[in-house]
Amino acid sequence: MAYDPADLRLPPWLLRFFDALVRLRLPLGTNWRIGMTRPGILLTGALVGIWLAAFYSGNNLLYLCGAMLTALAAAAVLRGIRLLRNLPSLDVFEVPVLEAGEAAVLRESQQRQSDTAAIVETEFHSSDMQLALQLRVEPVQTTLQGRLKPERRGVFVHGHEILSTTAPLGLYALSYARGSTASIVVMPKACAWVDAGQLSRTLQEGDEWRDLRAYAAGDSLARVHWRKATMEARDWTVKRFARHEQDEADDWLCVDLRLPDGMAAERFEMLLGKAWFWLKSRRQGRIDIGRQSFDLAMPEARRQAIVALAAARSESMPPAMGGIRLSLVEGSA
Amino acid sequence: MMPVTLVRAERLTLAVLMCGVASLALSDFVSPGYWLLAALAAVLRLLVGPRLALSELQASLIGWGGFVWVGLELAMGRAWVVAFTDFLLILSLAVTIEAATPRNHLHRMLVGLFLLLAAAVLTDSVLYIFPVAAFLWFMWRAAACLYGLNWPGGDLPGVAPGRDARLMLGIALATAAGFVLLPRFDVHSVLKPTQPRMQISGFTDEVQLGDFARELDPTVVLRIEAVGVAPERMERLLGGRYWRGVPLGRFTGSGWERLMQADIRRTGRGQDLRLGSGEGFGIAVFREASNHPYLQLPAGVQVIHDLPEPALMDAGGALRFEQAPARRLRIRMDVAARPAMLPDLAAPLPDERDISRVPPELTAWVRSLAEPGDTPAQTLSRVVAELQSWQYDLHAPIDAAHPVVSFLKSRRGHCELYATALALAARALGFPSRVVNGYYGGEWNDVGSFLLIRQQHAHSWVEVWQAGGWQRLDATPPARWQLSGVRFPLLDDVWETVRLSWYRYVLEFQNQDRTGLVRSVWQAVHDYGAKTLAVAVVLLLLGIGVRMVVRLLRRTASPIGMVDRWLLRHGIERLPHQPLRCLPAPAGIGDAAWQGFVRGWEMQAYAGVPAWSRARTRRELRALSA
Repeated sequence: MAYDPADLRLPPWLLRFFDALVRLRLPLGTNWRIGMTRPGILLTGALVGIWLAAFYSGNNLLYLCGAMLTALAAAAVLRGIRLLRNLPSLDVFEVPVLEAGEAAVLRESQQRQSDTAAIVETEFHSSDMQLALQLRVEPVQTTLQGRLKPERRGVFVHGHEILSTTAPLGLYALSYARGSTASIVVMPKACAWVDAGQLSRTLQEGDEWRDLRAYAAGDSLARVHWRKATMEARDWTVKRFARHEQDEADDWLCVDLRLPDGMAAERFEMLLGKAWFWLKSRRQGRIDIGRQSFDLAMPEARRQAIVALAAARSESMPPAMGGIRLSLVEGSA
Repeated sequence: MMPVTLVRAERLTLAVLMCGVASLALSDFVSPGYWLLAALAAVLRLLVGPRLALSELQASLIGWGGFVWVGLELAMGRAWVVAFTDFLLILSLAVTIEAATPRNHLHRMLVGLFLLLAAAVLTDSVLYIFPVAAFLWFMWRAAACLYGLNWPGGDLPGVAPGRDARLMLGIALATAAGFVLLPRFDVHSVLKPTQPRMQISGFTDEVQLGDFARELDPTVVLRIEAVGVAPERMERLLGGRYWRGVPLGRFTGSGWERLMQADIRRTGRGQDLRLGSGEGFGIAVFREASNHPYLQLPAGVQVIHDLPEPALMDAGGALRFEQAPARRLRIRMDVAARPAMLPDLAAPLPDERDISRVPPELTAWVRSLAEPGDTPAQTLSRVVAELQSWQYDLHAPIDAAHPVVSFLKSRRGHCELYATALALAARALGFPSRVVNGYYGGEWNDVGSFLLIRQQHAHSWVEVWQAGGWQRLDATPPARWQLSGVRFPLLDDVWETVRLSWYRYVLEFQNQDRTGLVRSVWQAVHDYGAKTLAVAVVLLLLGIGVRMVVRLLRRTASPIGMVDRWLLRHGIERLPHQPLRCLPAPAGIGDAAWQGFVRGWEMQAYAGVPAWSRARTRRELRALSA
């Protein structure tokens, strides 16, 4: 916003007073709150002065100016209310799947008519998580944007969201709390499969290029993907080749969700990270997560698999046998 | 190269400032040079762009220079109100050409607002409504534009003007409602709209012959409207009345002086002044600010209600305010339908009998008119008849040393000379007499149905003490009332109607006018045909109804409306902001089928695939139900 009374080089004590007023939020009916911005304080102060002068003098032109500016301020508030009331929920936007600990920049647009250009701050609250995003409302499109860095894995269903804006004139700050059923899926941090010992079956070497995996000490240098290599050996990837029939077996991942007693929870997260690493690179195949099975060729099932992985909890029952097996239980391979 | 949004902000804030300048330019106190300078700078700034800019320091130097200049003006004796407006306009010049910065934007908007408020006190022109309306528009657009600047991700684009235009209409209606409904307290009048006092001669303690009523000046001094009287009756009742101003009792040889009489009655602000009794009708007189304190009273005035300023009435029947008001006043009066004789006024003073300065030529002329056996009263009637047969001439030369003698020789002159000749003739015949300066008649405005009294209606007549009372005599030839200085009568009628409406419904709107407004509206309904209005109301309601139905149909007939209705039938109510995916699967619909439907819906709604038609939506819903 480009008109701030601070630009007038007001004395610091006055600006501090302004800021104290800016922090005030008054209830405006159920779920609504209203406050003032610095320019709003100027306008409100001017309005008070004009009305006092009008009441004192009975000058009808001052009444006219006062009524006009009051109507202008009221129109600004009403337009802000209308804007917030009609804003679409987060669900309308295709929020990508996030990874725990990884920063993601979000910028999703939807075609939508609006009679106000505005920036709306949106806070999504659930019992476990709080997200702050920004909605950029333009006359013909609305964009959800922001930077997210979720701390931990899970499926976060928001209890409510708080929308705040100073639009359309930057005079009054409105906030509106409403229920939300939007959900954010946060996956574990993807973990490359460096620990081949966790695999129940090792890949059989063949002549058909299959995929890449992280470099491990002892791998042939001829297999290193040099075009993607950096100075750091830990970032290297190795090309894998397999026979066709082996591919079919590799397209089935079985994730054992059993967590042995005394084992650190981080190991369980790492296990899920490996499963996510595998899932990310597959467009078809099958994944068993605990007792649930998903066909990745079907988009809906794939989505459900992602949600199941994000929401996975340790189980006591072993999964069905078959495919590549990821497990923390000794001797289950 | 300045970004487009910044250029837009620069122009909009400049427009806000110019609205303030334009409003102040309407004030008659403002020197045109000052506002023209600011306007010229604004035009140059628009043409050249922000390249034509002074630094903040240079602009502030102009502001301080203006401050010093105004100090000098005050020291040289210029009126403080003029100096104040000069300073404001110099300030606006500095802000106009200051470098385009956020600080400058704020300066312009604040100074623009301040100028608009200053103009609310310094002008009462009906044209004030235009800068006010423009200010509202540009203020909204400028504030919205400035709000949209400097956000992460770039400036916000502006909203199309058409979308804001409807909002402006709503704001204008809310403004009107607020203006009408808010109470008036009227504690003090120091901030009321002021106007420069008109310079009018003839209403002073001393008047030289030739100074008064000698020009066909169309400047309006009084506007009179009826209160509770039908306009056509009002025209009949109020036309052809004398509006009594100052009685002048002492003849100096070349002019007249007001006799100092004891003030017999002082009436405070807000009090009523009763001058007569009987049945009458109400009028509201809008008196322009002038350099004299006298209030001209119509013949037959009975009561003056709620005097806006303290006033004094002397024994000679002259009513004057304690000081000449600096603003337009609305004064309510009750006036007798049939103007009777003059109200009870004090008996003549010795100066009103004085014949020491009556020229011998005039005495001889009066004797020449008398027939043998005439009473003095009959001779006086002959004098009146004789004078009325002479030629009325506004431009007849006046001999400053012997005005009456030269008038008797030329038999041409204006009303002052006729009144003077008659008053002196009456004294020569033994009747105490005096000249009264005031207005006569007026001009009926057919467009607004009210009476106008212009400076060209200024008139002198005579009061003669006869039969124990003061009698009005007027010797001016009737040809006088055929003259008018108004060039475009129809246009003038319209313009004066607009001005009176502005005064009546805006400047002088008071608490009691709220009920008056309702009554006027009802009267208009009554006058212009209740049926016509009823048809208009029915059409309006019909239009609103049709619009609501169309909206409802659009909503329910749209694909999402169809889905909503289908959901309602299945016991689910979707809120406008809720996407379908947030809703549970409706009863009787499988989870997978519902998810498939939602996915298909979202694909067409958001993913750019062709949107579903109503038929397609119906098919999908039918398939879902199956």
